[in-house]
Amino acid sequence: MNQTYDQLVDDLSPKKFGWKGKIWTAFLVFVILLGVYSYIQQFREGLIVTGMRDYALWGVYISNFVFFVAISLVGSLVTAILRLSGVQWSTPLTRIAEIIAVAAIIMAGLTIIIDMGRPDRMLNLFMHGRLQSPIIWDVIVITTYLFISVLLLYYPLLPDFSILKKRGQGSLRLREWYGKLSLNWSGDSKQHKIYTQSIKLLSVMIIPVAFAIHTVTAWLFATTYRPGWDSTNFGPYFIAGAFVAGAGAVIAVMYVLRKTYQLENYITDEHFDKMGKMLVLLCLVYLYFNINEYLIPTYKSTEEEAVHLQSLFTGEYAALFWTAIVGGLVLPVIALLFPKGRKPLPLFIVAIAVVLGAWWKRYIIVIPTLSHPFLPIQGVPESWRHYSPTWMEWSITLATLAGALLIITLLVRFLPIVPIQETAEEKGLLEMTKITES
Amino acid sequence: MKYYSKYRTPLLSILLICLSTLTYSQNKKYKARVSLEYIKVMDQESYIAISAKYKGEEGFEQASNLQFTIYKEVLEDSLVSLGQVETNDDGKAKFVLKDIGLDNQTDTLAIHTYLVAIEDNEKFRDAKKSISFSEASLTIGLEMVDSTYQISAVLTDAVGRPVQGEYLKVGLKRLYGMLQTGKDNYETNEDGTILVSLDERMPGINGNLTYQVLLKESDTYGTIKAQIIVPIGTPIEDESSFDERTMWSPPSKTPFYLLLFPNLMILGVWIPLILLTFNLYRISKSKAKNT
Repeated sequence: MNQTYDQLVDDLSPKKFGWKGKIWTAFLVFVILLGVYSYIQQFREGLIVTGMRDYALWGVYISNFVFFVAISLVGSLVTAILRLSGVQWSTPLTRIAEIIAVAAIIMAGLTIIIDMGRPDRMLNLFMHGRLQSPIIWDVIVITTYLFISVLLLYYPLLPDFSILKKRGQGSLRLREWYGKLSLNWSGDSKQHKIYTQSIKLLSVMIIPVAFAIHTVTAWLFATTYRPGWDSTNFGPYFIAGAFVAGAGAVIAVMYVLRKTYQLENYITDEHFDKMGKMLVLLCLVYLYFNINEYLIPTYKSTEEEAVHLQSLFTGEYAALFWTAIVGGLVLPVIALLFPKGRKPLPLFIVAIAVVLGAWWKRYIIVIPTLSHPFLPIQGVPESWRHYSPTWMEWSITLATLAGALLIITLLVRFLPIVPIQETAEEKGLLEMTKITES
Repeated sequence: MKYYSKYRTPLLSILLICLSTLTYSQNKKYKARVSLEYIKVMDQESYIAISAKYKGEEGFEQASNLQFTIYKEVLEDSLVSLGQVETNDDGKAKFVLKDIGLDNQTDTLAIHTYLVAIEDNEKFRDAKKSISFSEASLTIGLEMVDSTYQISAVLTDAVGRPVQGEYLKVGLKRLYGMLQTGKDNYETNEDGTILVSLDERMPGINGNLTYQVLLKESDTYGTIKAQIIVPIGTPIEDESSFDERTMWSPPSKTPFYLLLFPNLMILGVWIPLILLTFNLYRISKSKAKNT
């Protein structure tokens, strides 16, 4: 037996939670339970328990939904684009990206249901949905993307499940499950051919679908004639933003996992450096779209746009707007231009700032526009003029975020974080193992 | 015993106050404010429109589901029960007078009196309200004088004698009410007649216009309404896209291109996805063959 291969399998096999992992999981469950309690209230009382009224009819739920959709795009970025372009260094990051994508897209779908005043009528969406409506396009494309993401997570796991069945550290029962999930994987030429072709096809397919999911989400806004949303550029603008948010999420998660599971030999400083460079590029592209999206309306300053932009630049939402732009975009670019800024810890901090900035950016995209309709707001209660989420909305929103983190945590508990088979192949350990075994 | 006699009086007082409060709250009934209107729609129906409200805890509220008994006063003080009617959610009810009961009454100016009563209601106090009116008729016609259309209306009493000095409103029936034609009111002359020139050709579906003449809440005759449909309007061309396949139509009328391209895309993605799912089955069976 080859010691190095055994070492690799040992290193990369899923491990039981330590006390930190248990506390973390318990904390997430607690946050989720709080959210469930609030949702039960919302289900019983209706959306009146939220801060949403006639004008701000989309609130923190929808901005959270857009955030989840954005994060889910990372699956296509790291997995598909880098895989198809033959980038070898991304192998240890692919599984993390796939897990984040699946968790985010599940929670995106759930968030839409949470936003419904009458979730018991959800089936009507499918039964009476009109293909003319971007909402139906969104329903279709989210379902499709979820399916592809699960397939793209599952396919590369087949050889790993087979390895875990034979050599994993888990209980007998768990290893039996790995065996079932490996679908009798032996790695013979026929299986390998189907496997390779399928992953390649999935990698190709997920790119347009991923672009579609975020473009369609952007169209939910852009097809509505409102200040701040009335843009033909919204699709690419959203995609650029999604890449930034997704890359930030991958960096943050890979840092935590590397630290927790001592994966320094597999997720190296070089990975952080390269992801940092990629994040700079993505931030710059997104910054360009931001300039484009705000400069031209500011230059034209039609009456309604001017009111809307004033609230962003110097008004009610200025603090949030500039924090998201400067703190979540400009400063990260500056920090990441320096090699020291791309070291694991600084990059982790920058990634957290990027993700937080991305979340608030979605809030800024959704809410201020709704507060500035074309027709003046007259003769309505003062509370209708301004939107601020209620504690119930916050607790439900935090529960969805905790839900995504719990899915990631549980998948990380039972799946190898770094692909075992691919890493062994790249390190040439698989051949050595075969030679040793023969 | 000493203590008993000491506290007996205050205790009994408190008990009595509590009991009386309880009894009062149980017996507390609202006073309904009822308004009545006699309405006659020529060639259709005559009815008494009842509307009721009360002062509740949050101000005036409509008295819904309130039952009224309707009586007709005959031979001075005798009352004949005609039936009952219940208010709807808006606190309104309509009692149709199938036979106005002119029998036994030779006097053409006889006043018909109806009594509307709330009786034995759990929520509202007993109450009565009466309404009196005399029979009258309103006829409406269309004439052409010097190439101009005119609406003519004649108000007559129960035996056909013209009624002078009443004020009639003239208007064009529209979806949400009556669009006034000419002045606010027209006073009937000694022939009981009014004449109103129609200077403008108004639009109507297929050129049909429904003109209405209204005697509104007359002290003597109540409200009388008459209408005529005349083909003198400008035909409205139906520009509705209701039957077309548009972006705003229901699912059954989705534009063809929106049925075609999204469904092609859905098939284009989902057929390979089904094949990819099937590939998982092929992988699992591939090993089975080999072993």
